[in-house]
Amino acid sequence: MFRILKFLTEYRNLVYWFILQLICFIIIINYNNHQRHEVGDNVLLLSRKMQSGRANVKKYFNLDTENQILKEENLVLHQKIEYLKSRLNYTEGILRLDSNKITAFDTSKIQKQFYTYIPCRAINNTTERNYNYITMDKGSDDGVKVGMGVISPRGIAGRVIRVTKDYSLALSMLNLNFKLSAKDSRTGNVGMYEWEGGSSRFGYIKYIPQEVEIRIGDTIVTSGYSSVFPEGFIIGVLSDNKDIKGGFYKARVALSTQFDAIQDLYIVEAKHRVVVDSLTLDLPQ
Amino acid sequence: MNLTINKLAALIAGGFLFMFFQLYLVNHLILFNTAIPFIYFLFLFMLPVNIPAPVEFTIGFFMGLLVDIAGVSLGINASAIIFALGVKRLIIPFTISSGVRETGDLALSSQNFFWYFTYLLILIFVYNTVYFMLEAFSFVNFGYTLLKIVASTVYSFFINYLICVTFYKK
Repeated sequence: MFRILKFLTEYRNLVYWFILQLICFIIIINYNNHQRHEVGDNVLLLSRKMQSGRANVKKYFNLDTENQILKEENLVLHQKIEYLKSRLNYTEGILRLDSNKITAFDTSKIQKQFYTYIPCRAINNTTERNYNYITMDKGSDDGVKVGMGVISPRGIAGRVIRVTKDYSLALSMLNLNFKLSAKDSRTGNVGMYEWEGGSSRFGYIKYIPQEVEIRIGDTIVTSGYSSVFPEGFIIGVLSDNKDIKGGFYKARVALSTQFDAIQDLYIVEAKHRVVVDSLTLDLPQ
Repeated sequence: MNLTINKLAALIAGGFLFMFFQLYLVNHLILFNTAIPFIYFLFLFMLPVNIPAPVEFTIGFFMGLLVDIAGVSLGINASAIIFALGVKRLIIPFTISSGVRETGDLALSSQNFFWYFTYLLILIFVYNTVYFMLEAFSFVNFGYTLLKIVASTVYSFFINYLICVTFYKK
């Protein structure tokens, strides 16, 4: 303390000079629009760069896991191809049997692609809060709009709520406000996915009627009712015994997306969403 | 510090005169929208050297702020003048003669011609550099900023040297 005082008295001219310069600088930034904007822009740019840089480093260290996930995804796709091939053979067989049906087939409807996917990267993501969000490096310039779904290679991840020119922000599935129509893929019964805070690996499915028998190990997928996500995208697996409350099940779901290792994502664009949603407008409640 | 009442009164009157001419005359003598002249800082550069630094800085701060208020750039002149006064405090002790050190008076004949030339040129250049860098506040279009600095330095130096020769005789 004494030393500090001694320093201050010894260099009091310099200290006073410095204080005056500081006051001038504060005045300049507070009362001049141009200078204030220059400072503001640079701070913003710096924080963006830091976020991007951090994401890059994280990406490098996660390459192994990423590779593993891609392999798994590849495997699933191969299986799907095989399954579709067999279905195709089967259908072609039927068509060959009944050649009249070929003319009845409206090919334009088959080729209509309902969903397109915008690949993107997460540059910021939280899992530890009650309201978690994912920031992505694609924005309105790339066609992202508010309300689109976000999926990871392993499963559903969130829904876009804010869009700027180059970036977008998604409500993570790990957010108390996130709700999603989901169904048990084995029985086909529809419930509601919700998160209740806590672990980033588990969510809940609710409002499945008590009469239906659901089992541990059942796969929970999107119902396709919301027209945000395509039907049948995986959410998770029933991991825990279920509670029954007021005639409905509430069961714990082990999420298939690894939220603490989120990196490459796809934003789902549902081309028919506007049309489908417009059907339900102005209905009597 | 051996300031008599007369000297002090003359100094204060000089300060007001410099501000008056700065605000009502020199501020309107801008050349080609590029070279901006200042004269008020000559008053501060030529203050007796034995005035305490905080006093000098405070006077400079308020004079700069006044010029700022008259213009449109709040704080820029004040920052530049305080910076230049800091530089003045750095170079004064090493360069003045013993005569000046005793009387504190920087009148024209107390130092040689070359000293005044470099002294004013350095301080005016420092002042203009800080001023125009703060005005631009970025390195975009740096060539134009540099042109403004050089042109204003030459212009201001010319005017200030004339004033110096005319009014700061012993």
